[in-house]
Amino acid sequence: MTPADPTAHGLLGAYALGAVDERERVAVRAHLVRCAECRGDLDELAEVAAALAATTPAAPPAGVRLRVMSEISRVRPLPPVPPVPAGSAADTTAGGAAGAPPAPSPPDVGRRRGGSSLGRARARIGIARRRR
Amino acid sequence: MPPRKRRHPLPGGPPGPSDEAEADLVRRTSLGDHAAFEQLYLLTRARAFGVALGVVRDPTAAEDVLQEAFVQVWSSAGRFDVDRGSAAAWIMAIVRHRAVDLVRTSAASSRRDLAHHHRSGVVAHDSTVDLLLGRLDAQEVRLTLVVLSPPQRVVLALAYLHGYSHAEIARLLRLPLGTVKSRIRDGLARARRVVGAP
Repeated sequence: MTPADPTAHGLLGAYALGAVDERERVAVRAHLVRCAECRGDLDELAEVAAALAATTPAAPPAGVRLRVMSEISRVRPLPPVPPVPAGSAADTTAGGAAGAPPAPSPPDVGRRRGGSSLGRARARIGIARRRR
Repeated sequence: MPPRKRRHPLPGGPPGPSDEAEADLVRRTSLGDHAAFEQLYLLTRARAFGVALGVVRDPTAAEDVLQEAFVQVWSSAGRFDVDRGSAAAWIMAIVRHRAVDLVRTSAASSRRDLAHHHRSGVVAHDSTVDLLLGRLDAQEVRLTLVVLSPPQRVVLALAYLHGYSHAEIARLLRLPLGTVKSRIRDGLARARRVVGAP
């Protein structure tokens, strides 16, 4: 599970912000399927991005709420993604993190905690404690 | 293999009340609960709209992004995995993805024009950057407070707030790709230290 693809690994921060082109996005996603460590790092970067979002709020017009509520009354929720074997190319538009449609959310076997530098850094800090 | 643990309560203890509440709203949304979804929207809309507005700039387009993103939140709530992180991180990623897709596909974006002028030498390098930075608005001022190093701030503002790709940023700022990538990542790491402080 070591980063098999240093290029994809190095792009993780940019990927987390959607700051990659389509080709890179595909490469990073392929890497994420194989690399639990990078999936974990990406999840953490997504928390940072979300914490940043809390620093830049903007009020949308009230009409958006009505449009959204009206729209969802016509949309059926998707079922949860069935578990797939780790390593398969499950590509969902749902789970996970960061700018691009996320790495496969369900399998995530081999997830480890606190092993990466980000994980260790996070262990000392505590983003996302602060919501709002 | 270690037991699977929640990754997302960050250190220092259990998730905060709002994290728990938002995750629970997503769970109820996945069961088709309209009221829970509406509450989730109300709780997260300002953060989400800020993200959309930062990237697409145009308020009407940002409203569309917000609407599409929340319809996706509704339809894919069953796929949210609480073990991977907070509901807010999941939602903001969806919003950002939608917003970035929109600016990437809109060919007539004035920002691309700016990049073109820059490449063609119509606008000198420094004034291009000044022009970009001249757009510093309240959002970026707040980001400035968070991200302390000016080079990181510029790169992160272009990527995070405005949805530029790292390659576009490298061209605009005439920096090597690797430098841009590492500034994005280092900028996020630095931001994490600041926004993460309790």
